[in-house]
Amino acid sequence: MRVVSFADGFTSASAPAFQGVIQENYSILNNQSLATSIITFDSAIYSSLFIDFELTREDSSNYFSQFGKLTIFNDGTNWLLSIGMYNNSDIIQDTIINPEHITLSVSNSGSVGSLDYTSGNMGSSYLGQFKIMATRIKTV
Amino acid sequence: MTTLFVATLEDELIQEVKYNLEERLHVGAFIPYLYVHNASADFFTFELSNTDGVLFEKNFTVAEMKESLGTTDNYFHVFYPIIPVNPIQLEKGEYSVRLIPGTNYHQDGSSFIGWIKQFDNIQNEMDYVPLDDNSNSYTIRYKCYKEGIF
Repeated sequence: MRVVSFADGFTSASAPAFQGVIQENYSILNNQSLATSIITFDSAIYSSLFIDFELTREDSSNYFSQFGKLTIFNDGTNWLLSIGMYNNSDIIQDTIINPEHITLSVSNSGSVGSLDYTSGNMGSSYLGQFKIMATRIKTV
Repeated sequence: MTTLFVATLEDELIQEVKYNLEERLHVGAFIPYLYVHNASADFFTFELSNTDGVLFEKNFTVAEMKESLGTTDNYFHVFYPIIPVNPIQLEKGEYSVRLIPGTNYHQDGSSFIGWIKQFDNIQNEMDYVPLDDNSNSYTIRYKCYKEGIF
């Protein structure tokens, strides 16, 4: 069940805020040396996100996958990130060493946080996906 | 600010309904309270059934729901009337009303339709005490006709 906070009136041109589970599929681009945003979240709307994820990266000859959980929460000042990984393929690293590696981090701009990534260079035949099931807790 | 408790339509949503009066009920419209979140191209089926099988079903689209509100916005909540050609006659008994997705419907965080839960007994009486918002029944109204009232 989702709890939808709807402004006055019955219709809206933009998506109202809701807490509950969302399912999304994001593309992970190849060879992103600068931090690239996946999703953003505003502490004026949400206080925390709990994300189950499946990350896959492949090129013409290699396939890598990583499963895990992300906990993203606001400590009152900044958004922070905690990563838990379920398997040992070790795609997610602190720094990129191998082509399949990516980094995950959270950046802050005022009340808005962003889950960002950088990625290694797997070549021109590369495909990458970041699938999530996220529960967002709305700020009271 | 309006807070809506919305059950997301995935496979189907079912509400069990009891009609307790002895006299026959003539229903001119079933009016579920629905929430649409950017599900622009989809159609859905509203179905009424009992142990004998399906008594009434009707398809409707998001475009028709928008038209009923006179809006082009993709996010809205609406009491949407499902109107049979002739009034449905219901005898005392137990029924199920269902909201069923069309073949191309796929829900995710950016596109879905939901059925809004009622608060307490505002729309219809419940024969149990809901323990939380999620255990409230789905909101639905009935447009009923009764002979002899002028």
